[in-house]
Amino acid sequence: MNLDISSKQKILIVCIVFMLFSAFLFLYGYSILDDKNHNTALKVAESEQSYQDLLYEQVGFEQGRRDLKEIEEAEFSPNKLFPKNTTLVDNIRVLEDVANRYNLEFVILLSGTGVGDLRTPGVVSEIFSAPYSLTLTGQFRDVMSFFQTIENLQFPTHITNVQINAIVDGEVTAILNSEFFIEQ
Amino acid sequence: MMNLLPKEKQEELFYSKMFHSIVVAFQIGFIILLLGLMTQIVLYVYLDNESKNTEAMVLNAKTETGKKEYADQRAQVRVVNTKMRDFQTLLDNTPKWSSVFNAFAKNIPPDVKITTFTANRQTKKVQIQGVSPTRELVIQLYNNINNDKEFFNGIDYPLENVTKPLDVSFKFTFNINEGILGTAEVATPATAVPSRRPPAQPALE
Repeated sequence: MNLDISSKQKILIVCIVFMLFSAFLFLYGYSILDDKNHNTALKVAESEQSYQDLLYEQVGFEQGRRDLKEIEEAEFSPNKLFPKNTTLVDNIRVLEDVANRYNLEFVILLSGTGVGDLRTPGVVSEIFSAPYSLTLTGQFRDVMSFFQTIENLQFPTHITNVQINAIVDGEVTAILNSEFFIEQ
Repeated sequence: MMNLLPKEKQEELFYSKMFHSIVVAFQIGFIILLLGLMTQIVLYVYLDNESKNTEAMVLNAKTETGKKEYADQRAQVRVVNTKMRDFQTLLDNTPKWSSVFNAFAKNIPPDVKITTFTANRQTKKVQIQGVSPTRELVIQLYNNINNDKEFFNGIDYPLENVTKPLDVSFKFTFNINEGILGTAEVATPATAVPSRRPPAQPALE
């Protein structure tokens, strides 16, 4: 087959072929690859962010381990914030010391094992109330000092009921119902 | 210089030269377009590889942070934080009885003696008994407590307090204002209260 094509026609054909090829590349080749690359780049960025977050968590874990160790060894360790029934005697000793400081006769009544009896309301942890009754005898001003002191101790104790009876010469008897807070 | 070729041949010759130039230009164009395509393909391969690598790193890190010791420590931190919050809550909620006594003492007129003072944190009720040399001082005590709106409210007025003019035995009942003694919640038997564990938290606090 002998095709007699003029140069003018050849130019036209070559131009059309080039334009079609270019259009094909721009419409399908470049745009599809560009979308894919864009999505992959986003995915990589997200993964990098997740990786950084996880690395921060690992750093936080190590820091947390150190902090926990540090506060366990601290004087007021969170594990010692609330006494257990076996260490509640320390709190009783503190009350005795305060009463002695103000020359008050001191009688405390506390019964039961102290654990698992009464759940303390208003807190999240498993903290139990250990109710006790306290009888103090002494000068009125000393009883007031006792009150002021136990309101600011290093452990909480909530007086729920107070009865003060005058005896003679400024001497009073105070009967307090109160509670310690202990954990299992 | 004169061109003696016929006009058609001259035109054909011109277009033939132009065709060859265009072919060369288009060849260069093809090469440039293909280079662009190649660049994108190389970029695609690189990013795909990078994506696989970072995903593997994330997976490794997740495996590390998902270990039991991490979960244990998170739980431990949660317990410590909760316990510290609870301790602070109980400390903040300590009833300040001394402020009640101080406020009450300021209301007692001279020579009036209080023999019994009984108060309950939950009901916020106060009962007092005492003796006074005169009836007027009893009324003054009533007025003082009644006017002390910062601390007290609802004082009653028993008429037997004012029957005698001298050496009067009296008693009053009144209430301590809300908020003075904190919030009084009654402890309940542990078996009646469902366990209130803190909600699970995803990360270290």
